[in-house]
Amino acid sequence: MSSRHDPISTEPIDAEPPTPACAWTRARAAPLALGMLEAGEVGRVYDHLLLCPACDEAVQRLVSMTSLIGLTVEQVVPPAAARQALLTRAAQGGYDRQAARRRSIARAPIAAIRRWQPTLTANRWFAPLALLFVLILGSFGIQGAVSSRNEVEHLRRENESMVAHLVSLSIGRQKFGEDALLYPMIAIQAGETGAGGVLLGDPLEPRASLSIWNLTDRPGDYAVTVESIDGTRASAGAMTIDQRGVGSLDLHLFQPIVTYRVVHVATTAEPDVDVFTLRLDESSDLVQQLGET
Amino acid sequence: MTEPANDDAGAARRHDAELVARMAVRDAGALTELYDRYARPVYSYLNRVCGDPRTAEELLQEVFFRAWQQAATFDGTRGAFVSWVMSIAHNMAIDEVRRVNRRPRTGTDDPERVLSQIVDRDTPPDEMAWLSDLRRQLRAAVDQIPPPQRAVIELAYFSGLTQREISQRLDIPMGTVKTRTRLGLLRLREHLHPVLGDLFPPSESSCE
Repeated sequence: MSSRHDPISTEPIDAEPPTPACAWTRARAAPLALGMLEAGEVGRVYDHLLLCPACDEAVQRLVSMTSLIGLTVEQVVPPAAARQALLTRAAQGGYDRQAARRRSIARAPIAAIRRWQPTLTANRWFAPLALLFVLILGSFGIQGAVSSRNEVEHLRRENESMVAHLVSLSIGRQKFGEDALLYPMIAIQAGETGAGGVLLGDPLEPRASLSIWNLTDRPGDYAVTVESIDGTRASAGAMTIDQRGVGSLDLHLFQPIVTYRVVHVATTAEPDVDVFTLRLDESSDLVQQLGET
Repeated sequence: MTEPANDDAGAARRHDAELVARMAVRDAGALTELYDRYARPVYSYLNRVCGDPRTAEELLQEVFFRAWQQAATFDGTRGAFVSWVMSIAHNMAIDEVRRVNRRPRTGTDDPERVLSQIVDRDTPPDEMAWLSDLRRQLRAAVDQIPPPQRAVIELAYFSGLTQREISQRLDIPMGTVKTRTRLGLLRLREHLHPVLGDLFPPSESSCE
């Protein structure tokens, strides 16, 4: 049987030889499947998998096989209460999407959360997103997060790439639907980075993406951890900040983004030491102004 | 309605896929059936990794709730439900271990012996026949992995250690960790190959 027919082969399933990027990714398929890949490489692997269906399928099949290892452990009967709790939770949260959305927004942590207007077209995202950037930029200056006029100028110079990046967030509406939530994030304990970001995600499902900018002095690989309202932290993946100081990541979450309000960013070398923290911008005026445009 | 398939892995995979499709349209009965079929192996794994029944119970609910929420994203052509739900459990368990401990967790001082110690030699009386058979063959396959390779796989899969941490833990070069990982999984695949065809349908892109 050739590798092309092997249902769990990590070898290429295409007739053509893999590209260097494919080879790089395949070499990391086994550690990825076991969850042992260093955080800095995980994001790069997923970046490739998004673009390469052949590698995606090969890796997915290896993950599927590897996951079966968990079946070898001693079998223990779960508590009966777990079953009922699950069914109750599913019954309460799974039937009526609109009602669930209302509940979700009702328990959102702050008033600054605003649902995108369903009538907005993808093209019309540009203006509000660009305005959001300007407003956040302004808030940095007002709040002292940017300590000098030179830094403000620096941020303005980054405007063009930043706005271009925000435009790319219009994809978020396609990814997360018309009910997508936007969380503007502001940097705290960021030293002189002036970093900012946006969380965009589904109001009900644990699906969200994070974009960060203004890290021009710190390109590299970062580990991202999200912190929920009750202070619980969970690893959400790894992202690469490019030379423009911009990076994005599809977060691996347990809960919808309304559960989270803080994002911790650390180097992959020292994942326990925050380089900086992004906190949900509780200044609801920003988003209200955005909604009025 | 399709009768539950208990004896054949291929039939079970197809039946599970039907149940997941029903979950995608919010059929709670399908969730109940899948839970009843797989809660025990999922819970057993979570309990083994987390070492805490209460945490395992919480994660068990999270795993199946996530499967419920994301049923529409399940792709039955890429593998069986049991693989999918176990991969969800794996991700959640490793995240939990890393979150709580922030340090290696093995549950033993001799990682090379772990996989041989943890396997269950008894079959639950009400377990589906094909699942019992799969578990038996998994155990046999794991036993065929040389101990040094098995140790690396165990430290990653059950303890949540990264390559670098395993390198430090076993005092071996990173390159050796990578080699052992790859060879160990290749050995596992080799020994599981005869039984995995039913769980992993042939790729569409592999047709000539």
